[in-house]
Amino acid sequence: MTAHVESRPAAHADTRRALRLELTLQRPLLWGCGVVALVVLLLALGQVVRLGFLPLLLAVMAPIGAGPRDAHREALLRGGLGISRAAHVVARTRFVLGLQLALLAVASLTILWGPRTSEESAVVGPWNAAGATVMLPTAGFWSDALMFCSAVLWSHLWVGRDALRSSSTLMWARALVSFLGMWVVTGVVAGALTMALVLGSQWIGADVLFEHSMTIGQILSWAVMLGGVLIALHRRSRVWAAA
Amino acid sequence: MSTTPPDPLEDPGRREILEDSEVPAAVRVENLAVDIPHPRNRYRAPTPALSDVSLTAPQGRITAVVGTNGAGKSTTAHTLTGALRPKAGRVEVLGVEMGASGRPCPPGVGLVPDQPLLPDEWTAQDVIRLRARMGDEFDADGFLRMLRGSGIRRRAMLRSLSAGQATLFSLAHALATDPRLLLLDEPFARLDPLARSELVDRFRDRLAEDDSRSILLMTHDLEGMERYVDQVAVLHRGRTILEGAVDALLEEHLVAAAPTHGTSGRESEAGGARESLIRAEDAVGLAAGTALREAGLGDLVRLSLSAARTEEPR
Repeated sequence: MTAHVESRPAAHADTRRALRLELTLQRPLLWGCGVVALVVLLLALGQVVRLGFLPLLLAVMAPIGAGPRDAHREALLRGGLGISRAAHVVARTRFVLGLQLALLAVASLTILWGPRTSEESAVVGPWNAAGATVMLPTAGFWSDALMFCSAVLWSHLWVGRDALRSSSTLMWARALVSFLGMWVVTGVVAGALTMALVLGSQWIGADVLFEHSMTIGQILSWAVMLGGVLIALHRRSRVWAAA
Repeated sequence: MSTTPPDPLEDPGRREILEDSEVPAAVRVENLAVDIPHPRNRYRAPTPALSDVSLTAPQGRITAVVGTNGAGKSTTAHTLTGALRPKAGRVEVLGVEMGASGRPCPPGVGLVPDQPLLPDEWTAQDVIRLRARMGDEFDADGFLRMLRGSGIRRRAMLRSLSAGQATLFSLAHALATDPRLLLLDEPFARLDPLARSELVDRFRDRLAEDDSRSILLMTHDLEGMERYVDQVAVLHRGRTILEGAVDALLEEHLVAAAPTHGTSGRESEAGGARESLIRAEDAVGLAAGTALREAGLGDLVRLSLSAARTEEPR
């Protein structure tokens, strides 16, 4: 009997093969999402209609869309090709994460470029930097965009493990409910963080900080939310692989 | 008078048995138990599928795992590929311990599943592209040549193939990787007699080319099995009830069951397995020592299964 010790380069090679298999098998999903994203972007650029919710919904559903129709058949295919379950889980999580980020970028661009009514607040505004004024997305835009990005990725964390073995109708519903729940939770957490910063700057009497505490608070909440979910996804994917 | 012990190598049958024990194993399974998890709900209790399976597939030989429907043949095959994890026991494939860590089967294993695993809309071209992307050693020309030989067009989608053609497609796919171990799950189930015969010849040619290659097949097709199988393991309800080299098993169970001087054969020395066989023999209404004398591996397997059934608590 030969002891089988899996070295780090071997594990990386295994993950690379798993990712290539994933990209090949998920071609229909990639094509579908690509076509929708292109149409949505063209409609936004042409100032016809703003359909940012479509790529957003696709991003929410991505873990389920990439899930197996028959988990056992998928496991057998992977095993037959010599790909470990661990590599498969890591590759699937990375693939879904990449797809979600791409779709979220499309949703954000749609908001940025799409037609707006006169009642809606502007998403692009003048920013002063080194004496020059440039038109950039407003803090409000970044706040909204990063909030729904966080909510989508946190919902991936909630449904990701079960989505590895099922893509049933129940899972689609679970993904949607998780997203709505995480939207509320991330909003509350971000609001609490911002409030804490505002009150903190008032308490220490830092006037300069107080002036910008709202913006700083929002940036910090985004960093916490997004960084947190990316770290959590990285760690959980290893737990899912071992489960 | 001093008696010299007979040289076991003088007896050709005996030589075969001794050689078998010295051949390294391509697959070694010991006391394997497997539970199949619920396909969708991880909180549901898994279903026990194998309770005590042990078998050895020697290198350079054709080993058959036989049993009735639901005996655990496919579950055993799936565990060997790493698609299912063992709950207990030991699984070693081409010298690599599979363990409970979800490790895949090592390079050098070609799988021919009982149903196509690739997407229905795929063609031979997609398979070649996938293997190229994954950086695998893959004989694309040989693959296409085999498909042509089976009457399968390179642009034919998997969904358009007949069940037999799908099996031949999977076989061509597996053989194009030049595997050291070919693992086949019910390869004959969907093949016509001619294709079946050609497949058996192909197995034999393959082993004749290189004796480091091995074939492990799961089947319930017992017809003419002794013509090509060297080693057999009989499964019944998730456990092994008979296992060994075909020649040794036939010698032990069938020849030994023949009548000897003044005894009825049933009274001659025999182990528990033979007693079971004789009971099974009664159960199926065969006369002792007559039909069995000319019987083959298929009869032995049938009798073992009958014996196992009669021993089950009602």
